[in-house]
Amino acid sequence: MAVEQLLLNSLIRAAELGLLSLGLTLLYGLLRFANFAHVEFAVVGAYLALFFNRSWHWPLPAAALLAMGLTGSLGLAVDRLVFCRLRHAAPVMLMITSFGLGIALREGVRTLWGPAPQLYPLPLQRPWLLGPVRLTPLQLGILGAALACALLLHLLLTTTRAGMAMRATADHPELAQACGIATERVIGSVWFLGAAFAALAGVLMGAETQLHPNMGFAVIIPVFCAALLGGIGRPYGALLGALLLALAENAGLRVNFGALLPGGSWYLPTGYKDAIAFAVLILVLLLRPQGLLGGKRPR
Amino acid sequence: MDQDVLLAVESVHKRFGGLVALDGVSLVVRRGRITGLIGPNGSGKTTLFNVITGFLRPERGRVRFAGTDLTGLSPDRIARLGLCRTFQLSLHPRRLTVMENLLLAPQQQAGEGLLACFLRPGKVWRQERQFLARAWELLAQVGLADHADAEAGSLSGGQQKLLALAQVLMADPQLVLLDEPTAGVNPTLAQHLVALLRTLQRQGRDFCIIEHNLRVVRRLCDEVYVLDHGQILAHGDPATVLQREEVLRAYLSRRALRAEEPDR
Amino acid sequence: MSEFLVYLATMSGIYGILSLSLNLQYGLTGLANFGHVAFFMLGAYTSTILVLLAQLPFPLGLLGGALAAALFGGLIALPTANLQQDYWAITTLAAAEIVRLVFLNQPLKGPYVGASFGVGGIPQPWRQAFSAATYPYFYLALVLACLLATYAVVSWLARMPFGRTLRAIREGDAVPLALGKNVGRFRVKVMMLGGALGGVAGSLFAHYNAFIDPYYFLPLETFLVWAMVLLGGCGNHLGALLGTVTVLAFYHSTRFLKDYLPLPSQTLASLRMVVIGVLIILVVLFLPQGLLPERKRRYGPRRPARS
Ligand SMILES: Nc1ncnc2c1ncn2[C@@H]1O[C@H](COP(=O)(O)OP(=O)(O)OP(=O)(O)O)[C@@H](O)[C@H]1O
Ligand SMILES: [Mg+2]
Repeated sequence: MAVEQLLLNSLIRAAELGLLSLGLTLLYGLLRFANFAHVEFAVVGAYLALFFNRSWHWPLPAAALLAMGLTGSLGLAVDRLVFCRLRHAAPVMLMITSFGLGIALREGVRTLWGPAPQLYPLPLQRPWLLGPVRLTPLQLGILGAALACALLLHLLLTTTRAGMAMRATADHPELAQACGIATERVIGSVWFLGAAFAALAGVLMGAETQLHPNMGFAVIIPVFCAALLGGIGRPYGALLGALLLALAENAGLRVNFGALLPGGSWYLPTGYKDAIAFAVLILVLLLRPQGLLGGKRPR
Repeated sequence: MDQDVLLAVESVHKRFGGLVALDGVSLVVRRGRITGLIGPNGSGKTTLFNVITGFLRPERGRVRFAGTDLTGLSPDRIARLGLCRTFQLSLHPRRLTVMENLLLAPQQQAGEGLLACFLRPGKVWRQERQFLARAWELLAQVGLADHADAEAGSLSGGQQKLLALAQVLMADPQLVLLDEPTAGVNPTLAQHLVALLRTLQRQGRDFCIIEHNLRVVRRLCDEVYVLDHGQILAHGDPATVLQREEVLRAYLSRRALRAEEPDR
Repeated sequence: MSEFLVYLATMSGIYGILSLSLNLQYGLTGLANFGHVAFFMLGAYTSTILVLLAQLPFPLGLLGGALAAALFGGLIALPTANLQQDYWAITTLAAAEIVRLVFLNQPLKGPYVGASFGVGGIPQPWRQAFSAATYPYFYLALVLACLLATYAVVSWLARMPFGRTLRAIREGDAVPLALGKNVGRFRVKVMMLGGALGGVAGSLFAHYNAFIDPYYFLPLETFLVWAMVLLGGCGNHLGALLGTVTVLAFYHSTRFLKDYLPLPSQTLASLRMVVIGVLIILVVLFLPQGLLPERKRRYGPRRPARS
């Protein structure tokens, strides 16, 4: 495979992981809440889009938008119903509660849509050949959607009050809390945005391969890894972290580790792809726990 | 080095991002005297304690305790060398009872070894009985004996301070760093505390105390250091130091007249 | 029916050991171990390899499983010993998944044993000495003996100064550190001991089930155990056991429910996990102490005479 193709594949993976880790990192920075249920919003979003697409015959982009809105609202509802009661609980309580929620969401989807993988009814993808790179219209759509989201987030962060509050909170968690910046409204917007972005990531992942109730949990380690790598509370860091991790994953499978020994040849078996994210995670925690962009979180 | 010097802090620098919390602080704590550390809020007193006890690493400077260089040692190593501290805010385990908090403190407990718990229960039990006797004694001294079975978290602010003091004494260190031991303690008990610390000091234990109540400082300390903006502003015996104009100015400018109130 | 009850009791015994071990780590020490199933898995696989493939006797397999899991516990605790709770959760979860990846990808003997095919025909210890009808009772007794031993170890430790220090560490590092406790070492010890106990449970499970594959050890299992400990009462060992029986009884009740509910069994299986997820949330919100709250040791007012 050409290097260009590898880069393209990494970009696509990074788009999906990045969208997922955005909400995670924002909430983590704001409330010191490692939300293990976050990846399940991707599953909910993907299946909701499937429902609107199949049953109401909406085109997939429209179905995805509606799914984003609904999943965002679900995030908001979850916060109001459960997590706002735990604002002063120990981090471990939040984590375990979110894990319970994650199981409930995932298994709820499995109950409603069944355990078998499903597909969006998409037309056959004919790749364009751009030099050594094969790019399908779908892949272009994925990249476009992710880029649009990143731009939207940038605008939100730089122009709206809530956005600025989020950035302030990420910079000085203690101070922001003391000044009351981390208000319920900001927290609510973060839940909504994070869940909506996760839903989009779910639709994109589903469109690229297939929908499965475990599709969210399957990427939980890479998603956490991207958020930690970029620095907790840093949205741009999360995107950067996702990109670096995706590159590491794709490159890691193609490096001949055997070359370290004379005449050796040993490649990492593809089954161990997830181990790369784990290795990165451990290295980050040991060497630079604040992440690349120096994330902070309230104590 | 001077035989008398127990703890020596040598030009310690510590910053938090842009904020310089300690700007070349040097001080010594001598055996057989109670050393006070005063200064307005935010002047870096607690930070200095954190640096001494290994909870923070200074950018520059070193700390020596009884001839050992403490730089780079972990807090628990430093504590095992005989240098223990209390915290300004009560951090002790709130769900443990007062008595359990005290029994937690002694170092080198046989019962803290995984194997010893099973192989030498007799020794563990005997030790536990000794600690228990000592704990009752200490609790009586700080007036908490009636609360032995109360959860530490249910005590009032002042009582928690007393608990912290009893706990650190239970660890039996050579030098004790106390961070505002009388804050929130009622006046009569505070008087009593002063007397208690004096007695303990005569029995051979040394203290370094952060204290806002200048009346307590006058009565208790043999030597006092004034910290302001991360620098030592003055030091000497309390009677003279507390007369000096710049000290009063540093104090009065930020703490207004509250510092001279008899009890907060 | 009595067959089912013996099965439920045996599984409760096995999961009881797991909950006691998690209770030691989380309930007593406050370690957010989200990868607890790794111990279970390592115990099961190591014991299987030792007994089935290396032809060693069962007690050695049990011991080997416990050792392997203890080593693994120490291994993940060493680099993370001084990290904060939230980082612990992520690393332990990830570490457990990596262990599962290894067993998922690694054939153990020939191409069709191990990896995703699983391992079958795991010998049942002392099977010849019993008839088909009495063997389940023997195995139940074996499991209960292990459970009893675990209970004795864990509750003895909890009453010793060791346990007291753990309960102090549970509420933050600062004070134990300031008092000279090597907090990281305590964590490593707890992870190793808890790991060994989890390994015992895993070994017992493998030889009971006679078949294991990586899908028995999904992260979901970890949360089943968490649900048991949270429901029963963190820090209370009897509570952990009560939680175990309650959750397992519910978990296996679908077997009977499916005769009464007009739902496919797959849907029912998912639904019961939804219930367990919701149960975790409800317990945290409304019953944070669990069914049996932690007990306090009383010392006063009887005072020993001063000498
Ligand atoms: N962990 C930290 N991170 C950032 N800044 C800190 C930290 N700890 C202390 N500071 C800052 O360092 C300065 C000195 O703080 P310190 O707590 O040492 O003051 P203090 O003399 O103990 O005050 P007080 O009398 O209120 O206890 C303060 O401005 C404080 O805000
Ligand atoms: Mg202070």
